[in-house]
Amino acid sequence: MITRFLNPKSIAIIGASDHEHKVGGVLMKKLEGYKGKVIPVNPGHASLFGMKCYPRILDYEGEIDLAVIAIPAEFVAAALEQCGKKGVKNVIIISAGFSEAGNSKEEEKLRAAAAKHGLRFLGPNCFGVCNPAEHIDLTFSATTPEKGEIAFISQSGALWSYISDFSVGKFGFSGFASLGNMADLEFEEFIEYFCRDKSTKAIVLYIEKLKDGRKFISTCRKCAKFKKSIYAVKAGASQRGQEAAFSHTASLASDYKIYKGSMKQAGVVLCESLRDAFEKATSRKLDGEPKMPLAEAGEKAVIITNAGGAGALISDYCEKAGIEVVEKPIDLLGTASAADYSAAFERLRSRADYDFLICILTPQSMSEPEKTAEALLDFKKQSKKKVIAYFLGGDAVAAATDLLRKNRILCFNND
Amino acid sequence: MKILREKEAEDFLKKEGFDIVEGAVVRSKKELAGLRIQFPWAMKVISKKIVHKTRAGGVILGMKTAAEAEKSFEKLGALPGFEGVLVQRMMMGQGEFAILGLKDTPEFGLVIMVGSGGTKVEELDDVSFRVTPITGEDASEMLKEIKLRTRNEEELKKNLLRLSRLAEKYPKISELDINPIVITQDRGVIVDARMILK
Repeated sequence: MITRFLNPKSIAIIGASDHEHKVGGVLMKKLEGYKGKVIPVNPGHASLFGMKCYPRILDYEGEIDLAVIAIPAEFVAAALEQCGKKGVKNVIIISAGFSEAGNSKEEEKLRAAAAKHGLRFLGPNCFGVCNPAEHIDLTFSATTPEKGEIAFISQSGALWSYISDFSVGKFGFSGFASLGNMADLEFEEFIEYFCRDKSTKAIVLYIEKLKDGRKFISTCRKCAKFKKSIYAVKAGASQRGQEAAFSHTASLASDYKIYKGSMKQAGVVLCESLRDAFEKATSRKLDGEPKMPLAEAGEKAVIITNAGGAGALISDYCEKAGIEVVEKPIDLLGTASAADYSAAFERLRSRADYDFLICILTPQSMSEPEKTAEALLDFKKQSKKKVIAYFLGGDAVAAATDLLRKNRILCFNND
Repeated sequence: MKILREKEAEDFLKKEGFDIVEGAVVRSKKELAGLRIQFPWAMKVISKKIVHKTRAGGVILGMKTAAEAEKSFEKLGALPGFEGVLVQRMMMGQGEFAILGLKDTPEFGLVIMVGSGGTKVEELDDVSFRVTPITGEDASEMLKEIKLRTRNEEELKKNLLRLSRLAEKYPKISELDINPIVITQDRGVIVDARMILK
């Protein structure tokens, strides 16, 4: 049913561009090795990368398996409507600015348009999909991994930049899907797809919050016959139950305990970290370092990150180790440049309410790992606070990691 | 939202096939003298004016004779808003204390819990959760996951499964605590329960 999301014969890019810092430009570039038909859509260009560019998707005459929408939120509903009219049944909406930004009304419009035309969509606010075997990479991660047997379904897209880069030379992927806001497609559809997919051996899930836990359990049970191993990492696992609850049951009911039980019922293995999950999924040891050395229980950490999901995971590890995370992780978003990091470090200078800084970077297409490492070194020179770096990935963060380690900053490449 | 405390919650559970500790509400010394409940007793004041019974001196434990019970009744009778006294047989030393619970969650609907019961459940934090309804196999696994061992595991499992059936029958339950349920050689006796309906 959703096969065409990962194996399309033709892909329209709505918001295609030749600009390397625009999502539409990154995607066009990354599809260079793709054997199917690419249809750029953008009223501002007559041609792109030597291909004819169409003002609207309706102007293209052939059939389109999959459309990717990467334009500002206010124009997305109209673009989706046009996809419907064109008869496109599968759409990925990368654009952000919907329910995650408090704009649920606009998201409702997407659902209505999809229902009207009988199309399915992934997102909005998602990181896209990747299928290395078909040379399809519709994500803006800096690295496209090798093909392989592992599927990854993630509620945080930016974690893909880390995992895809980290995987190089270690293991490959049968597919990746970033779920974003899950306004339409959710975990269940992709779990079923990968369970039926012959090239997939194991599936890794990164879960922040399920929309319908009972549907999740029944889907996993239904798919048990395909004998695929499923591993899950749950963000927010350190959260306690309600304080001052009416009942003991409510105060004892932490997210982690409920997930521990419910995942058993689903036949899913709950893992401690993404590294743990991928080690189990690949049945091999992936170079591991201790999770949280240096810091001591009772200390306070400030977390700066360009990936919300990585920030959530690492603050979980902190809580488990008895380290308090001051407020919430500071999320500079996936587009953060070295200058953005630098400005965030600058704002920390006057603060005294923390003991150490955890700086997280996942290599996304607009990231500058080395320059960010330099900015972190500058901060370290002028500050007495301890610094720990999580530059998550492999080759894309190797030079930055060397630089940090040479200057005696502890730097991890995995979670 | 509706809150059912003590007697109300216990009466509800009794109708659903749970075993509730022997007890009765009495409003006079005459009614007290007529009780046929095995000693020792626990006596709890019934008063709308008292929220924290233990703190207000509204709970007296361990009466072994009718004379001791009468004295305690007089003490409780002097408390503000006195309406009567709940007299219960005390189960101290008769078995192990377990807790059973249900809670409605946004992600999974009603989840079910079993664990070490008593007054220090939060400190012990020895509990296991599942999504309702559970199978016999789920129940056995849950009992294996917790540290609590009782003299009659079959009895605790029976009550856990009964609670799972209750959850299916009453989806309107928002929270339910059964704490403790005392697991004796031949019974699983509920001493205290509270419940919120949506």
